[in-house]
Amino acid sequence: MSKHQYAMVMDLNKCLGCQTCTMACKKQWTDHDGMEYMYWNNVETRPGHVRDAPFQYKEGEVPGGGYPRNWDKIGGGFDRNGQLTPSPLPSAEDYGKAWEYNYEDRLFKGSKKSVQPNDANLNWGPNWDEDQGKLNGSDNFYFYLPRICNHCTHPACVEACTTKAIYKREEDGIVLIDRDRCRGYRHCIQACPYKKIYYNEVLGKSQKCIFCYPRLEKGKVNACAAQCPGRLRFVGLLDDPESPVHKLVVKYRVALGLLPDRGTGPNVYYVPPFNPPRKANYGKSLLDDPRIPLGYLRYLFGPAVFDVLRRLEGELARAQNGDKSELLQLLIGRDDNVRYRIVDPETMHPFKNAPTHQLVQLGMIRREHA
Amino acid sequence: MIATRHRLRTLLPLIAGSVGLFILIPASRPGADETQKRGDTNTEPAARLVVQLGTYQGKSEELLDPDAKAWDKAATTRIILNRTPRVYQTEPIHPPAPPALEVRGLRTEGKVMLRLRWNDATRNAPEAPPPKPAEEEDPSKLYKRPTRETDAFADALAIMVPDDWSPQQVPSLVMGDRKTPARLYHWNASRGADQLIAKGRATQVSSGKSFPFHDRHADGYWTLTVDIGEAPAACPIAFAVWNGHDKDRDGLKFFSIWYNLQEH
Repeated sequence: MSKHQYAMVMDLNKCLGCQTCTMACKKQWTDHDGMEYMYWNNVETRPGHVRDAPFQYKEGEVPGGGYPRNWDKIGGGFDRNGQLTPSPLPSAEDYGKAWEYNYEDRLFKGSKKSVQPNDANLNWGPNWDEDQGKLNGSDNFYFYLPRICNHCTHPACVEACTTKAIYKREEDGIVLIDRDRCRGYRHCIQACPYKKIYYNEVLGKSQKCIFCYPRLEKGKVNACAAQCPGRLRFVGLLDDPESPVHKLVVKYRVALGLLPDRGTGPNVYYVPPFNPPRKANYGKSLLDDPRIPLGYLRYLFGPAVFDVLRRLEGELARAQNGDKSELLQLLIGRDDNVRYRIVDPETMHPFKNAPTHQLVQLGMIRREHA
Repeated sequence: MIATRHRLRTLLPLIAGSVGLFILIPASRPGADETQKRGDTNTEPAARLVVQLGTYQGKSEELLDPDAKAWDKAATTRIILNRTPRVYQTEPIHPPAPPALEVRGLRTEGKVMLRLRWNDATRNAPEAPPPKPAEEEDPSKLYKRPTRETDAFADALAIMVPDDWSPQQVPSLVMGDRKTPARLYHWNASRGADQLIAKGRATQVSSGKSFPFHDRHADGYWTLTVDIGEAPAACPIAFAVWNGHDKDRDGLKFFSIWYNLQEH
């Protein structure tokens, strides 16, 4: 366990599935040889993968899909006895191979055919099940799930690595791969329950999300968070009482880790999604008549999700009655200094050498806001 | 001892009443005693495991040809291979059968040349694009060499000898130890030959050197000829085989215990 822990909170009620975070990460980090299939940050649609008609949710059902395909079903993490349960390795097809398009014909050879993939029989891609929802009774439900490495408190990848190439940084809990030690055995990929480590065939080594540590060290927030138009990402040290992630996870307890039953202690937290109320349920509680089946939310975020939904609903009711809700103001996260607090983990103080125009963003100059 | 085992065998299931224990206690083990009486090769002491080394008058490069006539006359040693133990419960309980590895050895120009042949139904050599030298790195270049397979592993074989051996020394089988580092000649069907130095498990580092080799996969067999340089007489030698088809890599492999080179 590290001395401090950087964490991210993502409010799933605000994600619009635009993939700007995915592209920000792609341009910043995975724009090199052997990395074209990697999305250290990806946004997938849940429940997704509903090609079998009728698209009706059945009680207790856990739909598949995602990136890589069925990542949450194939295994990984620890069992109840603390034993690693490695999964099979996802294939390149499971991740979704990069499609080739007919640009050459369309742009240079005068073809009138619209731009489209060369392969007419494509049946999977990294965002194949985009916007695919499911029916719960007569109401449709779906939501977006942005995912990065969870920089777990007990990382299964660290446990599985036989060459001691993966380590968790003592000062801020970021999990990194030592490129010199890694020999590309891929035990880590099998062990990770979130499948957030990727194999680079050109290098013969594995690679993963680095939580933008070089940016953090300069006082800048992660690229995926900086670019997010939905402003749904909150970043800070979990043990810094001033940080928004501390407030959301520890103080208000409205954000939960993904698949907590895998035993790794993920440090990316999610505010669970509501979706709009169902038809003709005026006056009913979210928990009495949910649009997103509660069983599905429980599968993703564990049994604590019921308490979280109840708490959020209480705050909403309070705001609707005209009272002030600190929590909702925080979740709205209008300004950068509300959403991010990037500090030096050793001193817990914002970086002193940060440029003046960033001081507000870094929380050094506090701006009064509603 | 045998009587105790018999008593345990009858009593334990009664006490525990568990089906699991029935499975754990072998129903009968007459085979073990008989094997020792017969002196089966599988139970011979390690000291008697040798790799016969003939002599060859000629250039070492000629022996890289697996069909060189000299190899026909060289004595064949059949290496006993073992599977590494399971680490995780998710690994198959019944590991694949070990391949039959045959080694022929010839010494020429002071160097030890080995011809290794083992059965492997599939040739697994995922062709990774060669790494680009750092100075050619051009971030503006749009063309990327893609990753084609994420779950493929190459067939491989390794030969381990002590790095600096003096007689009577027996280095650790687990890739040497601090006092006696191991030198590994690692051949990989995808990435070729690499020499490594290790001072114990998971301490291997590439020495940046390659070694001469020739590989061929035909009719369900790999044939590999290697030049492992000037190994001293009676030097310990051990072997490991990885089958890429079964996703073998790292510790998931077949290994032999120490043999000794024996000139004749």
